[in-house]
Amino acid sequence: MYKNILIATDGSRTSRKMVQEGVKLAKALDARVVGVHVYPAHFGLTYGNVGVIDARTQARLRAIARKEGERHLEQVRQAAERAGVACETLLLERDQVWKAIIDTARKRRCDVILMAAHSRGPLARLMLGSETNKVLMNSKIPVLVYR
Amino acid sequence: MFKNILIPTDGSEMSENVARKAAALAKLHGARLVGVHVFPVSLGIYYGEAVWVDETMRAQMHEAAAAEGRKYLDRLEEIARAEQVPFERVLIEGDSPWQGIVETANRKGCDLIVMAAHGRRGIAAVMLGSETNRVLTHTKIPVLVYR
Repeated sequence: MYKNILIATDGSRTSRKMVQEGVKLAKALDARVVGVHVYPAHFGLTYGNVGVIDARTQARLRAIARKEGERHLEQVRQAAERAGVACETLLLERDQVWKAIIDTARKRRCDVILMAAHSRGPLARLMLGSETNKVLMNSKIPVLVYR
Repeated sequence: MFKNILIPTDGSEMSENVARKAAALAKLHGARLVGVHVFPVSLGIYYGEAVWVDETMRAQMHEAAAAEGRKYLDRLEEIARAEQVPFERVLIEGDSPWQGIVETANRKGCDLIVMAAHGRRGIAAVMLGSETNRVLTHTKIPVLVYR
């Protein structure tokens, strides 16, 4: 069935639950796991081509995002190790999160993508996350959506 | 892992292809399949305010829709039988398929919904099917989406 499972985590509560479930799935299917976290290369609001966050702040935000991302990927590695599942993790800096997820799945020859239905926040729960929606629309391989 | 997999069908070739994948997954997990078809209650032909359907016609159309739904579920049953996976059918009436799908998943204690990114009416390449989108935003159960 699935041999190579991509788990795209954003560290949200749903994502963390998904990581546990995804590793269990990998174990059951004798598959390996590719954990990926994508953070934006540019933060915040832009107006036309003008960023409203200065370059130094941008760099600081990226550093925080990298650290956070590492933490989310560490959860994947630990879960995989506990279950005895082969695992690789990737931390990516891309502005188009959905595209980075799809590209990674293709490059790593994954046969299914796992991701959360929405990102953080109470309002986000009411609708499908925009990145999730874009992955669903553009992925050629099946997407397993967790809530 | 997954024990109770729901597969909605709208009778399209797409949903039967997805059912085949779900059956393979069910076999691997030792799970059972629940097939569901939701057919519309208000089978009216409207022209402005006028409804061109009397009670007799309505009853006939209702019976025809139910018969069609039974055929769809027959095909799912064949697919399940080919993989030697236990199958249960649910045929329900309702004007919003997504609601019937989400309710059936809860009622039958399903732990996974497998469905196509778009159904019969979907504009394949362009957008996520509206029923799929609504199922994704209204269920608490993981949804595996195929294209």
